[in-house]
Amino acid sequence: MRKRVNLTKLAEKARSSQQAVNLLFDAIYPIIWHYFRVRLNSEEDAQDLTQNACIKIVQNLERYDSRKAAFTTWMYRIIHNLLVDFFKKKQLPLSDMDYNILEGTESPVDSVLLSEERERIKEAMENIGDRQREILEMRYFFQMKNKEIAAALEIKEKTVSSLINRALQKLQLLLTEGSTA
Amino acid sequence: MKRIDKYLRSISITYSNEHRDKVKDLVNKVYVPVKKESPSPFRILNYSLAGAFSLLLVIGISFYSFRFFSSGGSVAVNHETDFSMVDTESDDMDISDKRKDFEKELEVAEDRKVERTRLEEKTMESYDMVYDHVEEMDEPVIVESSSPDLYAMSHSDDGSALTTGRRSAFLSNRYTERIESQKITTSNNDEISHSLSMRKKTRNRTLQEQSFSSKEEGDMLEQYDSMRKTDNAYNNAYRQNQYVETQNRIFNSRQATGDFISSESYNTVVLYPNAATSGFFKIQSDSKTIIRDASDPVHPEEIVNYFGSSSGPLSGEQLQIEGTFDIEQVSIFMISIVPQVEMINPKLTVSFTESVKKYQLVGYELSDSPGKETSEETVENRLKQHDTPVILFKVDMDFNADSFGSAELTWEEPTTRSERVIRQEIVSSQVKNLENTSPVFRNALLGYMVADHVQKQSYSPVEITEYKDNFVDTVDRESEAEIEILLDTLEQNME
Repeated sequence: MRKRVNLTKLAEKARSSQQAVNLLFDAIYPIIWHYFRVRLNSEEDAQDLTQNACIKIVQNLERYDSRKAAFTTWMYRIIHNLLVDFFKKKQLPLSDMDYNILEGTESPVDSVLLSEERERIKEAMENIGDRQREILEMRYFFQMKNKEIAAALEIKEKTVSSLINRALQKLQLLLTEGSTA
Repeated sequence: MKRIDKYLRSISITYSNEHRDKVKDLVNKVYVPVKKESPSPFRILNYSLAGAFSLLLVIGISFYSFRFFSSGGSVAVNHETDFSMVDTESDDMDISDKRKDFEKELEVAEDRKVERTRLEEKTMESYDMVYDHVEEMDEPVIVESSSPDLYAMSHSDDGSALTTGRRSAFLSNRYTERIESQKITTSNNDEISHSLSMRKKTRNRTLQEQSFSSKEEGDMLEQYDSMRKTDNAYNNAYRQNQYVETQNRIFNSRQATGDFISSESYNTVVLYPNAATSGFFKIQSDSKTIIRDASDPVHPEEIVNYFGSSSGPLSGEQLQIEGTFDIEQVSIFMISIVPQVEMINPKLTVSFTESVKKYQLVGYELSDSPGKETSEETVENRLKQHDTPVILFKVDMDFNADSFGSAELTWEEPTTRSERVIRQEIVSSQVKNLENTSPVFRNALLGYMVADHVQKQSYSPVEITEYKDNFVDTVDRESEAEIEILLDTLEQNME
């Protein structure tokens, strides 16, 4: 499991320190890559957008104000806007995320335990709807707090909590149905 | 559930190290460190305290070690050397790093100097152009406002008409197109003073920077501090220059857009103007209750209330989706006034001409300064510099009219507490396509349309889904969350 780095503090330091920028980059690159990769069919497009996002984030670090938003919230808006712009430019609808490319990083023991369920979870993830899937992704992969997700999506914290619970319940329901079928 | 949770926490995607390293190189190339704050007396005090603390620690440990050995202790621990070395090294490294950082920042500052000079020249040239125009005007009157938006005005012979000159309009030689029947109540030469002081600042800064490189290192900290101040002045000038360019673009865009576009579909609903790419929009929850005749103007307190309002159909459970809506019924435009100063007690009054038959105040959007992703602040009866209050009206109007009315913004100037005023005409050329507005705004607008128009029939899940698919922006907002919850509830009820 990834250790949660305090990206907000790191981003503050990165404004004036090259070393901190490198650390920040190491922390955010996988997140950004993940974000674009699951949304784009083309790996090249995902690489291009990841590159653009990283550069844009670093170039705009000076403008980032940690008093107004957590770094993940700020970063999420940037990369999400890049994605929206990309689809607009290509005149394409936002594609569904492809969760088949996800891989587990659990320990060998966990891997055995989860191996049977992984496929079913992937399938269920594809069926819970974009909105709930995105929120789950923000919560679990971006490791954003509910408050940060609420700020990024401009919805209430209570709504985020509700959506996460409902998404998990839906996942569980889908998995139960799958196992009994 | 635990396993789902565990799985979700463990997911990841493999990535190419080659691409990662390539991007990292690029990032390092584009990265420009922000200048650190100049060394303050407190920091120096910190270093002194750190040194003093190290010394005390050494003395203390030596003293107790001596007592320990004197008392016949069997274990010999020599902490003194370790502690003092660590502290001294740490201090030395810290200061050395800071020195390197400082030197690096100086290099960056030198590199930026060329760019600054270029922009300064451009700014000064802009001011000169404005002054030339003002000098050419008959009986020029300088408006009581430090906003560069309204820069100069000229009375007509009988004093009832006025040529309002935006600085951007002056620069593009089109200020005479702004002739409307307006009256300006007060006048002074704030603008000229402001501009002159700006010119003075930029020239002084140039002189200071020219002599910078020849200073001894001992004076560098002082110079560095001075440079920071001049940088701030430069940044202000730069922002102002950007503002002028933005205004020019908006102006040209409006000129090019031409006629007032009818609302055949939501993509062609006409809105004026929204230069910002981000911002937020709030809708008055009881806006349906304030439809009234054009002869009854919007009261200032109503609009002020909108600025501080945190409730609306999209922000809570007031959004009731109960039917279908016909988007073609809606004709909308907005009024925007762009203050360049902080305002206290802003009051916006809008009055319409006879061409407007009915209107409905819908809400407002607060656009933020360029470069920010979104704004989360509420205005609370106080506009900050660069904030753009945009008032949205739903109207039934004569589209052939040249002018639909005017908006007047009054506020108190923070320092002198004197009352200031900006007036702006609402004219048909001030149009902007909805596609160019922020996603937040579009969602809010569509949410409003739904809230306002769908209450005629009973809803069906299909209709709501169609609304969601067709009109809710891909940037998810509260409205979509609400709709999803509603849909789930519907599905459950149907089951």
